[in-house]
Parts: sequence; C-alpha cells; structure tokens
Amino acid sequence: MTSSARDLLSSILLCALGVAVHLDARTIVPRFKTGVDSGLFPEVVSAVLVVMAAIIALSAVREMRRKPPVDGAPGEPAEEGPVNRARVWGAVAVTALYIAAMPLTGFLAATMVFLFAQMCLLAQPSERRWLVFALVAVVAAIAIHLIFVRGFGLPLPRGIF
Amino acid sequence: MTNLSGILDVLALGPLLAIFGGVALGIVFGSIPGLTATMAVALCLPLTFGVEPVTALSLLVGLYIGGISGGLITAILLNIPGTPSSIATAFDGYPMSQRGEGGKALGIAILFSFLGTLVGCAVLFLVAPPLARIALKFGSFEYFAIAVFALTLVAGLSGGNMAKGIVSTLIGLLAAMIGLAPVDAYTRFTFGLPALDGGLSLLPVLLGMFAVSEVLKFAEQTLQGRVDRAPRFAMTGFFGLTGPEFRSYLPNFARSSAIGVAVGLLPGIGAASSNLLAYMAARSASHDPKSFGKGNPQGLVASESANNAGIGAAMVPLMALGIPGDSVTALMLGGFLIHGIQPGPLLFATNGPLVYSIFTALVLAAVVMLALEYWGIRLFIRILSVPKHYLLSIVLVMCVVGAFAANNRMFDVWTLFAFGLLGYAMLRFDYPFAPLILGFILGPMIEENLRSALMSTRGDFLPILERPVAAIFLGLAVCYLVGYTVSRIVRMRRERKSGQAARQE
Repeated sequence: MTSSARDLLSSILLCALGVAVHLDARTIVPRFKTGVDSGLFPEVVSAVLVVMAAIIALSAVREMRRKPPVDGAPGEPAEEGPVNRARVWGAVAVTALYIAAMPLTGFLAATMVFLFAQMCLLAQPSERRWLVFALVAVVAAIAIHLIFVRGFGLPLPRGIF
Repeated sequence: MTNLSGILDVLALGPLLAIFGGVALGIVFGSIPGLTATMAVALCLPLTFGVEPVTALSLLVGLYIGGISGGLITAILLNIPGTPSSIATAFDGYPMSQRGEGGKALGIAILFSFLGTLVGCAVLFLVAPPLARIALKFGSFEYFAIAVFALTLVAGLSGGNMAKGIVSTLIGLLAAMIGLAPVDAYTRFTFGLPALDGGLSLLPVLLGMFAVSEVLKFAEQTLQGRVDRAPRFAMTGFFGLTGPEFRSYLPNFARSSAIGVAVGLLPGIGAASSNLLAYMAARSASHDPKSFGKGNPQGLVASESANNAGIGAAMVPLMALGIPGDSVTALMLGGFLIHGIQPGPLLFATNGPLVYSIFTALVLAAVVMLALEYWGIRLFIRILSVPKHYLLSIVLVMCVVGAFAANNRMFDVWTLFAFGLLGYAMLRFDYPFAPLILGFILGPMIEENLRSALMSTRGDFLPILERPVAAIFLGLAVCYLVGYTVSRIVRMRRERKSGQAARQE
C-alpha cells in the first residue's frame, strides 16, 4: 500500500470516528444554564477531527492523481519495505491471550507461558534456543513475582485455581 | 546556627544511606517501563514510619530525584520512556543511540538532569514563599490559558505533517473525555462499562503507545530489515561533551529549566508535560528544527533539564503552602504529616533546621544521582547487547505489572493493550504519538478550567481576557499559531519556486 493510500484509508476511519463521536455528543443533555455543557467539547473536537481528516484525504487524493515525473525519477514509494505481518498478529494474539488468562491462571503461570511464547515468536528461526527460552521464562517470571509480591507487597492476580 | 544544624543532620550515616538507597532504587524504578517515581515513593513510604524525620525525608527525596531521572535510560537505549517525565528524551536520545552515540546521549542527559535538579533546588532555596504565593493566585482563567498555549505548541511535535499532528492531538483529547465530565459529572463515552467511569489512566495509555507498539514494530521486522546488533559505545570528553558544545547548550538549558520550574510550581500540570513543552520550545527556537527527532542533543538537554528542574519547584508549593503539585509530592505530604511536620508558611519559621535538611538532601541526592548514573553508563549500555527478543518480552511483562499496579485492576492492562494497538496503527499510518499524549494530559485541564471559569462569569468569555496572565498566554497562543502558519506558507512557496527553477534549468 502506498503512503497516499494509507493516508486515504486512515482519513476515512478518522472521519467515521469523528461523525460517531459528534452524533453521540449531541445527545448529551445540558445540566447547567450558564457556561458550557459536557457536550460542547466533544462536539467541537469531533467536528475539527472530521475537517482534519478531510484535509488529509484531499491531499492524499491530490498526491495519487499527480503524475510521476517525466524525467524518470522515482515517484512515491510503492511499498513500505519488508514486513512480517504474521509475526505481528502472532505477538498481538499471544499478548491478548496472556492478559485474558492472567485472572484465571494467576500472574506466575501466565507470565511463564507468555514469556516463552513471546520469545519464540520474536526471535528469528536461527536465534531460537528452546531450553534457554524456557529457563529465562521461568526465572524471570519467578523473579518479578517475588520482587513485587513479596518485596513490595503488590497484589498481582493470583488466579482462581 | 540552627540552619547549620539542619545541614549537619543530613550528613549523618542514616540520612546519607537513605539518600544513596533512595536514589539507587528510584533510578531502578524510573528506568523500568511501567514503574514510576510515584510508585517508588508509595511503596517505600511505610519504610519511613519508624525512622527519624530527617532520614525519612532524605529517603523520599532520593526516590523522587532518582525516579524522575531514571526514565532517561530506557528512553535513550530502547525508545521506551521509563516514566512519563522522559517522553521527549526518547525523541532524540534513541536516534543518537542507534547511530552509536548512546554513551554521549546518556552523558548529556545525565549531566543536564543534574544541572536541572540544581536549578530547581536553587528556586526552592531562594524564593520558595513568594513564588508559592504567586502560583496560588493562578485560577481557572490562567490555567485554561496556559493549557491552550501549551496545546498550540503541538506543531513542534508534529514531525513535519501538521494535519496529522493535530489529528493525533484530537484523538488524545477524545480519549481524555472518556468517563465523568468535569463540573457536572456527566458520564461520557463509557459504553455502559463502569470501569470507564473514572476515565483512562495516563500510565497504561503512555506505555501502550510507546512500549507495546515498540514490541510490535520489532515483531514486524524481517531478518534483513532488523538492526539487532548493539551500537558502538562512544563517550569522550566531559560527559560526552566538548567545551563549545556545552556552551552552545546553555541558552536551551536556561529556557528549559525555566519551563520546568514554571510547570513544577503550578499544581496539577506535572513533569509529564514539562519535558514535552521544553522540547517544543527548543525546537521552535532552533535554527535547524528539522534535525529534532533525528538525534539532536538539544532535544535531550531540553527534556532532561525541564523534568528535573521541576522537582525542586514542585516542592515549593508543598513546603511553603502545604499544597502538593503532583502525585509524588502528595505522597511526600503524607510522609511529612506522619512525622508530625505540618508543611505551610509556618514551616520556615517553626522548623527552620528541617527545611535546611531538605534542601541539603535534595542537593546531595542530585550529586548521588549524577555519580550513580555516570558510573552506571557502561552497565546501562550493556542492555543493548541483550538480544531484543528477551529484552522486549520482559519489558512487556513489566508494563503489564505497572499498568495493573496503577489501580490494581485488569482493566488498565486491557487499556495498555488497546493503546498498544492504536500506537502501532499510528506508526504504520505515519501519525506522531507525542501530540496524543499531550492532548490526553492537557485536554481535561482545558475543559475543566474553561467550564469553571465560565460558570463564575455566567457564561461570559470576556472576563477571561481581562485577567493579565490569561490574556498574555492566549495572545501568545494566537501569535504562535499565526507565526507558524505564515512561516509554513512562506517556506512552501519558496520550495515551490526553487522546484520550478530547477525544472526549468
């Protein structure tokens, strides 16, 4: 995706957000007769958001329409470089599962599994050392747990088991 | 004589150990993303119950200084600010670190942290009571105008695309509107979730934007695109500086320290915004603003001078009036009261030696901070040699702990996750983060103070302009916006003309 296409897509999403917030803000009922009510700020901010999104969209469209230079110089870069999307989605999923599991399994167990999974995911295939990852995951999770729960008395999630 | 006894009280073994331990622990808390100076003071406050007041306050002062300063380490080395007070440190510190100047960046940041702390101490020492009284005269009108002025400076954080910078600010403003509205407590944008009634906390938002997005950015890199090797360590001269370099930073240091002191004096603004404001001011005043964000040491000088100068200044209203300016000083007020010390105008008259003990503890803590961080540079720099898949995974766990500990609830951890996704999306779509954080901090201030002001004037805006300070700041905001717009138009026309001339040739 080119940067202009990304700008266009983001401006459409922002415009939708602005409109949704604006419509919701208009339902806010004023409680005081003087001054400004709780709906004014969200209304103004969302309206400006829509305007700014329109400006970004317009400049993106103008950029897309502009012909590449005739002298053969490169125009807009077509793609933003090599990106490993699968690993990003994997990191997102592992983190979400970690947060969801923590209240059930407790901080210690969830953190051990998370650290192991996240290190496996973030490391390149040539860098994977399963045993070292497992050891680091267990030691780091226990150390963090001991420091915060025993050392500072912070109540981290204990789980239901 | 009594003043001398106050100074000598700190030079005993107990207070000295408390300062050393406090600074060391504060640096650890400050440098770990998710843990803050507030948390360090809160966790150590019970330790002070059974010791002498001077030792207790020395420990708290050490934690405060170490906690604020420690944030620079991960900001420079990992692009993840350890605390909200070092957000702007990452902007230029990390690019310097990436090009092999990590040692120099740390040296500059540490030195100007120290000098900034001394400026704050000097303000506290010399002019605490009169300054506190002036700060107390600031009402809703003035706070509203100051926040509006600060928000207009967002242009300095936009990274070249003003429209995207404004959009980022607006998203921050909208995020800050979630929860109970100021003045009338109307519930806004909570989607029926009671957890949202109290709004979103700054810490999970900040960590999500900077730390989680950094992990996802690392995850997306393929083996070819990855820069995983540890950059070269380089620090020559005095803290990585030459004499002429140091002298060239002094005007920026003076301006940034003044901003840090002003923000520190005013209750409720805090070091999270002072470092950003000083950074924007330095960028605006620079002859080469485009170099900011690409490893210009002036950015480091601005951020670190401002956040540390605010420490002494934040203690001015605490000690002279008994009013805490931020969360750390609120906890320190608790520390004072536990030992039967009532901060306020009478403190200087009835407890003179203790006041001098605190001044002395502040200066000693600054010296200990300088020494510990300077000698620790070689240790800190080794962080870079740890493979990032270990480092970032553990940093993420620390962020989860920090977000959870903010209010002891899982909701804040989900907030961290959500803002991590938002941060990553903004990164992919080339939207800057920093304006969002500034909008998130300043938005509630603007709304609350404007609404309070308009309530007192029965909806009339004109009386706001009749207050000199408010009028000056609103005028400055208008001047800045007009000046910035005109300069952008002139620059665009010039670039277009030079482009046309080049094509004709």
